[in-house]
Amino acid sequence: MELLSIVTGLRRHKATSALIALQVALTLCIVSNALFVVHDRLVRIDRPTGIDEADFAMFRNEWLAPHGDLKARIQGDLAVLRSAPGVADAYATNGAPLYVGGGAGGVGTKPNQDTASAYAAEYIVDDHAMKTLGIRLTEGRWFAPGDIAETNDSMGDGPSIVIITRALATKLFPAGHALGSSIYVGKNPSTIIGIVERLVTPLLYGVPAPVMDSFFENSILVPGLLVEDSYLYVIRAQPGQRDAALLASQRLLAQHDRARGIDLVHTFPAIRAESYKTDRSLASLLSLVCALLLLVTGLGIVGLASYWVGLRRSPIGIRRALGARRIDIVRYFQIENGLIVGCGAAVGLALAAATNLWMVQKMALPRMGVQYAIAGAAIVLILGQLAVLWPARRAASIPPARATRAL
Amino acid sequence: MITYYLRSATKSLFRNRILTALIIVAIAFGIGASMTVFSVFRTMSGDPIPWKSAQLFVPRIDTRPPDKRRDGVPDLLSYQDVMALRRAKIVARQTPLYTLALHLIPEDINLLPLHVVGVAVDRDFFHLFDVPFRYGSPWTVESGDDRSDVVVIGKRLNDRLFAGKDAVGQSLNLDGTHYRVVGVIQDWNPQPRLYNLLNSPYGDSEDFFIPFNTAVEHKIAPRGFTSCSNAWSERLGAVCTWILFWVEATTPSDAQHYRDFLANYSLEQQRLGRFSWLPSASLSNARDWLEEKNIVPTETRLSLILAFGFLTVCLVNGVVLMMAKFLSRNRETAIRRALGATRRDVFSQFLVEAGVIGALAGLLGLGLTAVGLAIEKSMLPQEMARVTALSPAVIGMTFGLAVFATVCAGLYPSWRGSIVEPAVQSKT
Repeated sequence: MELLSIVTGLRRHKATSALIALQVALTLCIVSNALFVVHDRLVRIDRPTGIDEADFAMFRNEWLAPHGDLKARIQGDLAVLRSAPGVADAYATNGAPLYVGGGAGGVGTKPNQDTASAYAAEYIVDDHAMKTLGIRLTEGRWFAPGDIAETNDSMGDGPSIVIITRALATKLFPAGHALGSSIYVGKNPSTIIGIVERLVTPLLYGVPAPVMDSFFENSILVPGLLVEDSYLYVIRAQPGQRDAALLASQRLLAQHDRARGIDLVHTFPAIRAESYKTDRSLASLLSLVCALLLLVTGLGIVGLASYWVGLRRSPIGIRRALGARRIDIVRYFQIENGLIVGCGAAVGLALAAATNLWMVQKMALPRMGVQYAIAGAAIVLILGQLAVLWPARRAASIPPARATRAL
Repeated sequence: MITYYLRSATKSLFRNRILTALIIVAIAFGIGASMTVFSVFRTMSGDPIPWKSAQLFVPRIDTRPPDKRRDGVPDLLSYQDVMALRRAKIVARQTPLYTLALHLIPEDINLLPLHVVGVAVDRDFFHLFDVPFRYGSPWTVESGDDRSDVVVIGKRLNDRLFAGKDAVGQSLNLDGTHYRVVGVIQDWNPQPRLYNLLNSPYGDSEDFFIPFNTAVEHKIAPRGFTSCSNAWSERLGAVCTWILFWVEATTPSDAQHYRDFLANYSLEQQRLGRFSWLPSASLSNARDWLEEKNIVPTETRLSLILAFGFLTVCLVNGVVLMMAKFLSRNRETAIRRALGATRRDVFSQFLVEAGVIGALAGLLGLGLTAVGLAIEKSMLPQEMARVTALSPAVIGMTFGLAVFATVCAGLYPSWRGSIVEPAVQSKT
């Protein structure tokens, strides 16, 4: 009965009601899609790397020509680094987790596969790397000093032994038994001698984020002493001495041999912050705009409802005079608002799904779960009810006597 | 008449003050958000040298067998192909280009060498991309400088090493070789870095430029993504690709001429037995190439969509609230109508009022855009931060968009407000 009279009432304000419903629909569409993207990015930012992040730091070393005996120079450097004050351990490598650079390639379980079974990052490490990275070995053994031979940063025909991450092991050998099996990164088999719990990939230059994310935890550790004119030194500092250790190691290396350039000096927290900077700024931008959007829509509802209250002063007075309680008037406005926002939300749900589909096609975004749309709908419905409360209360305070005065 | 409309519009802003403020603030936020994101997007997707880019072309030769041609056309060429194109000299100006990094070895024995990034190019590079010189000039071919140890340095490096003074004639020790400075360029940093898009599209311009021949002579390895291994002999072959090539074709017929040349070249290579298939050669205009590279990150596109979605909501909100504002004046409108104002008069008056609201929202929106850009600057990765600035164009667009959008949003409310019958309302 009451619903019918509300609907009849709304038919006098068709255009305005439709417009506010449209506004709600657009708000829902944007808010649910934004919620989805924000959540997606926050999950991305929170992914663990598997290494001891707090004490980890790195820099690039480049030898100037003529190089002379590079191997001896690098071994000398490593000895200097490992005895530097505040440094717990160090090694030379081709890439670091989350850091731009490094190498990756296809991995197979059989020789000469046409298509790779998986993609994985390839890190060249030595016997000190486990301690330096602070990664956890769950099966098998780490590389012994005898496993470390001179190498360059191409994988050549394939190393004879490797250690891989749990994620890659599961992907390549879903039935288990990865330890002791062989994989192929070149034409020769590489025996898996150990499995580490987790070690994420570097950021490969020019590879889009969704592709990178598809093999984020797939890493292969290859034993070797990297002999190149340009590579990274990674160090792990004694707890709490990271910044001092980083400075000391650069200074000692410079004193040890000046014919080099050192650059790209980073602590891991800085690497992490930089590599997720766009994710973080997108998440904050979307959240900020959503908050503003809800504020604008909420204020719009307040404004319109206030105007309607003003228009209906006489009818409300009459109703009150005829026995309607204050709560009845408030309820009237709440139901009216629920109807409009509900219609808007229904349209908005369809709009949100369509927008997401469009973005999936145009921007390679993942599909949005239905929970985000439902959350969005709940948010706009609650927002509507909250926004209408103040005007509704004002309407309820119109005295019954007003009815007689207006005539 | 218009001054009267403006005066009465300003007056009526102060009626329903809260409603007026709501409309202005909402539209201003919409404008501020969308203009912030849009100005970043515009710089990032923009053509840095619009007066030149239509005449610049990237020739590409896809030498992969036809069944292996995936993931677009490779941009880089092999040394052998570059030398062939360079020798043919079909167009007047052309340049190969590759990125390299060297170490600047300081005179001071106590300092560590400084890592500097540059490109190896032919002298035409400076003409092709309109590089402005502060001191000196590009090296010349006649003097044989294009194969000697000469260098053109960027403003940043010149400021750092020579305190911004004329460095022509000075010597720089780069990786042990002494290069003579022949030119210093002015502050020049096109964004995106069209000429070297493959190596980080946004960021600072190079520290130095050396002749391509000299770089090859010294066997200086390319930086960034190439298909070569580290063996220098392999780089001088016909297989691995590592050099970008630019040509200038000032007229469409020049471009067509070049296309024909490339097609012939491919045919000839097949005939000579280098391939058992026909390489696919193409010539892309710089603008199309920029578009094809699709360098604007997804995040920026997403933000742009979001920001304009937000503006739309703010405008719909403006329509609703202007309806309320204008319709609540029905009684006044009826009196005006009864006194002889036509519907058209009333309509234009409301529309002027919408315009005034839009102008105020534009002013506020401009302030919000400035704030937004400052925030954006602090949040973007460093290499992108410099692309954001509040230019006169952005200021004009912000204000124009605010007024235009608000007047559009005001059309329907103004019409609804103006269709009041004089008699009905004046009865009471």
